[in-house]
Amino acid sequence: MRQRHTLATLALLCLVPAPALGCRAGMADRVAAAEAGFAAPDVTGNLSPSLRLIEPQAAPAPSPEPLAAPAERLMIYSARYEVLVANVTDGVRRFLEWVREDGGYLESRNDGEVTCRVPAERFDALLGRIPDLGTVLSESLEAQDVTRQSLDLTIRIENAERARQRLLDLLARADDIEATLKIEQELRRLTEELERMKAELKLLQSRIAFSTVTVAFRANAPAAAPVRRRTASRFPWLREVGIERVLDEF
Amino acid sequence: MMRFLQALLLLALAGAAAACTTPPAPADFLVVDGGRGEVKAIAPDDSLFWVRQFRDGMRGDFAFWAEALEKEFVESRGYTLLEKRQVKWNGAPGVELLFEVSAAGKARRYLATMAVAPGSFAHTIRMAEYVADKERFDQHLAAVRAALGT
Repeated sequence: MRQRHTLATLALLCLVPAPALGCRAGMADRVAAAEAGFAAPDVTGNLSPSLRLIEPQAAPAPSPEPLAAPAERLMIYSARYEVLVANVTDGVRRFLEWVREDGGYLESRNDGEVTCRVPAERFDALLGRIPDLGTVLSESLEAQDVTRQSLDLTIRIENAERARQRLLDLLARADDIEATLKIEQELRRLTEELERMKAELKLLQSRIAFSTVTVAFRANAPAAAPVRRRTASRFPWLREVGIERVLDEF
Repeated sequence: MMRFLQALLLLALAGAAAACTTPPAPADFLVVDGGRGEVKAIAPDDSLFWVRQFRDGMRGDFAFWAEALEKEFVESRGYTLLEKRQVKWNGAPGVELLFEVSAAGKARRYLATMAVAPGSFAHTIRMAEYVADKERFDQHLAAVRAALGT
């Protein structure tokens, strides 16, 4: 009886059309479904077509809470400046000091071009100090709204976790070897996908928390010529000694 | 008082004698020129040894000339100072400076020993120079120091 139930479940899963279940359906599909007045199929993650996981029972309508627009927008800020300075080395050193004071860190440095990450709350303050470095030749500021992307990713992770739990439940009930193997295979794939999405979300959160500031320093004077060493001493006897004189005079 | 004057005279005579005689050259070196406190000598491997003296009418003291010499070689000529030690040369305070220098397309070592002998009207600056290829420098170092008595 139990084996028949598992097989029936798997057969039902195979009959469900794939587009209705893809985890990419995410928030947009759920919004559309809610607006259309019917319960959208519960998203269960990127399940392979051979193993769709929807319980035969009617799935509850998705909760509206995650769909509510967050009060605060999630933004990624980045800025790029080109600054004319008297001394590139000094300019870079000064800028890096400010970044460290603000709790930021150096991301990359290529000659006179420095890219740093600073806590988002210190971003404006740091940009306000950049004109103190020298003459600003150009500046560009970019703000990317990732509120929707972040929310979508969060929902996909929640759905994948729910799907994973369902697979685990199913695995506990499975008494057929073939079904067990298929479920385990799907579990592995889903776990990998979950880890990937979590890493993506973490990266996104890091980019939100730390803004990027790139400053390209340009010298306003040609590089100083190497210091010419004075070979003639002011003291006559000192001019007569030294390895050069010894080699010449022998 | 008389004894003091005699001692002073003896010291002056000893100094004058040292200034007038040819200083000894290190063992294994061939003297090619010399006289009046100066000697030029060459070793078979082309290492060079030269002792000279210079009259200093300005009468700068040892500390002044020691600093001037070191700055001249290090800051003006770019020699690399490897070692510096205080020595006594003919009873006068002296300094021995060891440098590494790239000269005439070779890495060489250069030992400069300098001392100042005070005089009533002028001081005498004594300068000994030893130049050798970097690899051969140590072979004659002991003999050079023995010849100078440093």
